[in-house]
Amino acid sequence: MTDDMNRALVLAVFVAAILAGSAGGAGPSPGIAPGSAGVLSHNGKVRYVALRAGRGTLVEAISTGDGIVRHMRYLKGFYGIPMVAYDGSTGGLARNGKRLVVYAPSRGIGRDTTRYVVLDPRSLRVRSRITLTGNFGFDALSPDGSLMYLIHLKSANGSGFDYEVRALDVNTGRLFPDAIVDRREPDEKMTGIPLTRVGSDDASWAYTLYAKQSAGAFVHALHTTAREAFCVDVPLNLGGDELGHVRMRLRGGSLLLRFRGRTVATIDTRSFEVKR
Amino acid sequence: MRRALVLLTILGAWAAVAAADGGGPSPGLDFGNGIVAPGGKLRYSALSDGRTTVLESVVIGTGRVRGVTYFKGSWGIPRVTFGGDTGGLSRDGGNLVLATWPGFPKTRFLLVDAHTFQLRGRVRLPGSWSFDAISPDGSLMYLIHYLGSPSQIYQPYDVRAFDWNTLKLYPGAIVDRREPDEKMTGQPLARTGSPSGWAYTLYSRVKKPPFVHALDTIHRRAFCVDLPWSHSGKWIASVRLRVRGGTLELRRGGRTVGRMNTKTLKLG
Repeated sequence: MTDDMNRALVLAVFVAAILAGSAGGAGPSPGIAPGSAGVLSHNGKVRYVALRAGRGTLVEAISTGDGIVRHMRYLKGFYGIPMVAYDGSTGGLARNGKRLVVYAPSRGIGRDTTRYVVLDPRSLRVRSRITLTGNFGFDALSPDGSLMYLIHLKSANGSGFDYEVRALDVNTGRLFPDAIVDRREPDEKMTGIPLTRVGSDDASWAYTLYAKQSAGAFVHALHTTAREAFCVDVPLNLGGDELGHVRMRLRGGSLLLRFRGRTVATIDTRSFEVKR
Repeated sequence: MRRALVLLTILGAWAAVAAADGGGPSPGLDFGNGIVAPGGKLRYSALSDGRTTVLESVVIGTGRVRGVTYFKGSWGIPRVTFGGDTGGLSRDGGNLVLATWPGFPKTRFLLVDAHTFQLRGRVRLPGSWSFDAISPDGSLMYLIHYLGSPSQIYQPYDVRAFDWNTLKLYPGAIVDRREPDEKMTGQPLARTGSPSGWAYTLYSRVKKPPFVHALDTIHRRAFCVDLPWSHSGKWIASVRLRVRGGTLELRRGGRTVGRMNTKTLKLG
């Protein structure tokens, strides 16, 4: 399947999710990557994938240059590399290359647990297993992989999702109390669907473009070491299907939002001021 | 996973002991390196935990998994030499053979469409067999049939041809008709092929000269060509083969140490 086809597929899922409101219990989290793309190491030399193998999952570390499987680990149950946005962006690999997270999404609200397995990417040995009661997705990792950010879907109904971002201490397997909110607007509920993601080179910031359920878009800027987040409304004047084609990139101290080859908005990553 | 590792250890030991005694010619199955498709753009790997085998094609250069499927049981891409050469993929790129480990009372083979991963055929043969070669279009498979008892380390063997269209073995062994009574012994060390469907394998033998086994995978015929060295020294393990024009070259350390005319089978 080509990249375009993959993107079309996930966008189709995204549109379906929007239309269905809360269909499938996936909520705002895109879930897990369906195998092929996996997640790439920072230096681009190793790709990690999780493939279904009978009643289990085969996690592999594949050398990109020659396609040789360098390491593999069989896990009981169905796990996947986390997707972090509906454009197919994936996550789960710590910037320092010492932790890889795969997870098994919950099956639905009300009867759900979410399971995470933390692996050592160098050997694919299991470092720890974390089981949470509730419907969680994966959002981001701190650069050393000691902090994991999760999307906690609290409820879903016809009017939309009710979710929050939570931080988890990977060393203890425990959630930090309280949600990660924009302290400038602590009462504003997060709503929306993650469309695309870009991270700072040191992985201390994760910027995610969300489509709001009402209309419009915002960028969620997550400081992955400080457990802080900021929501930045971005007036883009694009239709819902056009939003799905916006891409982001970091240049200097700016986050550029690009649509069909042109910059449609620029966000100062220090002040979060938006320029068009 | 643990079971697979134990199995690998046992079979690895079996292969090593057999090799040391100059008998067992099977290098077993591959574990991760897989085989590269003609054109060099895809690599196929078969990975097993002992119960399930994942077959996948990986795009060389990106590491993306392009195709994936899984089979019940423990299967692998066959190794054809102790130098790590793998086989099982037809030269037209359309067919891939997976095998179970040799050394058991029955040996099984699968023929898989290399593009779609759909199963094209399966066969279970009584006795211990291992994969040797496949014809360019994938219709003929050549197998090593071990003739000794499973506990026997020294294993005389035959080369047999199997037709994937009829799912039947051809009668009789594939022998060098110039020396039909000579039994095959030795360990395969290096392999190369030619576009015309020949598989050339360098074999070493204890206290005997090494030889090249030239197998015509289209016409089911084979020739053994003794090499002009008095015995198979350890150095022979570092010899590699390549076909250039009408010549099979034996290369070691960047130098050509022997040549064989592929038409006349004469050494030069």
